[in-house]
Amino acid sequence: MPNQDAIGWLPQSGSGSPLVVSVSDGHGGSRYSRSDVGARLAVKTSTRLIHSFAVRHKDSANLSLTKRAAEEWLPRAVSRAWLDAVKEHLNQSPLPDDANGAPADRNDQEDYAISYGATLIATAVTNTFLLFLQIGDGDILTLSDAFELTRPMHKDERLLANETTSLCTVDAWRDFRVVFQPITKSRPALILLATDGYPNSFRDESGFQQAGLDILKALRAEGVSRVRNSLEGWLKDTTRVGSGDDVTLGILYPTRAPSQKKRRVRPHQTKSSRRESIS
Amino acid sequence: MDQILKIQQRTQTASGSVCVVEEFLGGGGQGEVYRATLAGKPVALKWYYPASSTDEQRKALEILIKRGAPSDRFLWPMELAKAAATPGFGYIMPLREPRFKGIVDMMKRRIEPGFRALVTVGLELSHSFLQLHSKGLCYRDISFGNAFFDPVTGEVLICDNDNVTVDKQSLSGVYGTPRFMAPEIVRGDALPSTQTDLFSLAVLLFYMFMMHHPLEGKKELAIKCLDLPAMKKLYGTEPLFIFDPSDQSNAPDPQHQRNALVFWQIYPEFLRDLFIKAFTEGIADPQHGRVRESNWRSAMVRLRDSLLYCSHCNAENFHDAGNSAAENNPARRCWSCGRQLRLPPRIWFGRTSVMLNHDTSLFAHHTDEERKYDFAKRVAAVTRHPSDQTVWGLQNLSERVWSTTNIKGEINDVAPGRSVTLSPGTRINFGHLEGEIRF
Repeated sequence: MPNQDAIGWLPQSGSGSPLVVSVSDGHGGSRYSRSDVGARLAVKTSTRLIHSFAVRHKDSANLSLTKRAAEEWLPRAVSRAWLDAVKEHLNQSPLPDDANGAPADRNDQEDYAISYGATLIATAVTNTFLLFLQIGDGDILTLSDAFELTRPMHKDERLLANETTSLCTVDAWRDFRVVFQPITKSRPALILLATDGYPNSFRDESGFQQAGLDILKALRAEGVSRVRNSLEGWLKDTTRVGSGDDVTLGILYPTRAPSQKKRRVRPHQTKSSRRESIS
Repeated sequence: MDQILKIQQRTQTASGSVCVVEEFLGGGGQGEVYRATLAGKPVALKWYYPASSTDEQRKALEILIKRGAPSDRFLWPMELAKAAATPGFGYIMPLREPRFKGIVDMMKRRIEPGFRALVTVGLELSHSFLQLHSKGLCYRDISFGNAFFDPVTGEVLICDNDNVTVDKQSLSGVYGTPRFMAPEIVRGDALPSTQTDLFSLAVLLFYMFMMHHPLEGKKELAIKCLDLPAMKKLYGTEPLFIFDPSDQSNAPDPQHQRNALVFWQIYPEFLRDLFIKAFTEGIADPQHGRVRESNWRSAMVRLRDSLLYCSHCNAENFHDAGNSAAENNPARRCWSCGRQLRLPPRIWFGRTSVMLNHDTSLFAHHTDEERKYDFAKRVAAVTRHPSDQTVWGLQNLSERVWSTTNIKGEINDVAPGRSVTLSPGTRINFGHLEGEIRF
């Protein structure tokens, strides 16, 4: 089975403000036969849309307005954009007829979108606000300069065992969780976005949190390049002894000291999957 | 991590009491809200961001604290608070009980209230804003982020009352939430007032009942990014109701805006007519065309009284009582399972009726014309005969003896605690008003 995870970011240089990073986890399995495509479409459409939103709102003097638009409009816009992209893909590459020889129903979302089912986690960092969006499982972690850990996203009680909310459900916008944080003091020293394969590789939540602390320490002690070079190996090792699942980790890290005027943030990507590690 | 107040930080109220911060609850555009304790009792503490910690905000709060809450449905500011180590100020208010959930929680499928609870929410919101407006106050920011409700009972709590001002007296302060603002405010032609509150209330009710915004049809789908110019156009300069009978150019899209199309058909015509008025005349003529809180309130009572359950799937349906087309339609179908609906017995009070379902209660509102909208205490409830489960009755829960007249003209008294059998033609005199059972 191909890797079902995807990651995307804007600007493409991986540096600048606003910076948007998205990760997605296709559900996998025969029912979700195109979820790798669904995950790729999810990061592509959401990154573009959220970046455009962040650019238009980055200098907003009215943060209440931006917050409301982010909470109330973005989930609908993101799920619609994903559905439209799925439909376009389906038009170019129709699903095979079902077992009875009947053509797959393309009018009913419940039918056509399910094959593409995927989760989505996205974050936008601007000079004035942080924005986190999530549908389905996976995890977001932020760390302060003083190594204080925060999980900005409140828990979704419906995410139990292998159950997850998904972009492919009807009215998926209703299942999005959105957190908008005005930046009143300083931006986080590190933001991690992970598909569920990564946190699930640890025995409990504290393991994932410790990994966040270790990554920030390593970034500070060894620099971005060395962490980037080591990261794939770390993730492969983690999933091999852990969940065995696809793993995607988005890392947002300011590459200049907070006191400097321009503060850049850079995402790093490493994907690993059981298949990759076996081969 | 980046919160204004620290856990266990001590703040001091205007009266000199110490209020201790216990837990961060959430942040908004103006400030942050914490759970705190005041003299050992749990309270909520809102603390403003520096940009919102203005003298004007402080003075506005002082006025509100002095005036007091319009009713216990408002989480009203109680006292101002200061902190030695933190600039700015905050205020104390009652803490919301956990049973109250946000309307946002309903949008997010975290709670799924039934229609009875939902209609009660509509009734309580209309009634509460009528009380607020009657005191000469304007809320300015009615939206679904500011109202909470009990998903079982439909009881409402209205929060964020620090933006409330005396009607037409404040030139600054919050202008509202863009998608809920009256078009004339979005355009910059007017300031928040009780008239603009009426528009926001209509948007909130529509949103709750249809799970969709009344102005977001095809025109919203065409927007690439909801920024300020796009909002101004959609909600200010070119607002068009998605069910405007004379202009379908902003009709809901069947794929992406299906909720609006589905829910619109579930509700009786009298409610749809009110929404049409609110978003056609109410947009064209803000001064005279808006639907008043009292109109919504009476529509909500009528709507709740028209609820019935499908005998096949138990889904709640509405019967458009008094509407001749609906009354004469023998093939009423359940919106959920599509099978034919069977109407339960009804009790008629003049031209209005109440469906007598297994869980129906009557209140003073129904049985005493002097006590309209008094739902504090049940005066009657549908009940089953203790030894014959096929026989239904109406139990007297009031303190008054009812007098009943059956179809044969026989007169009987029904003492408090006793029941009268539901049979066609029986008339019940509740003391101030008489109702008639019809099948």
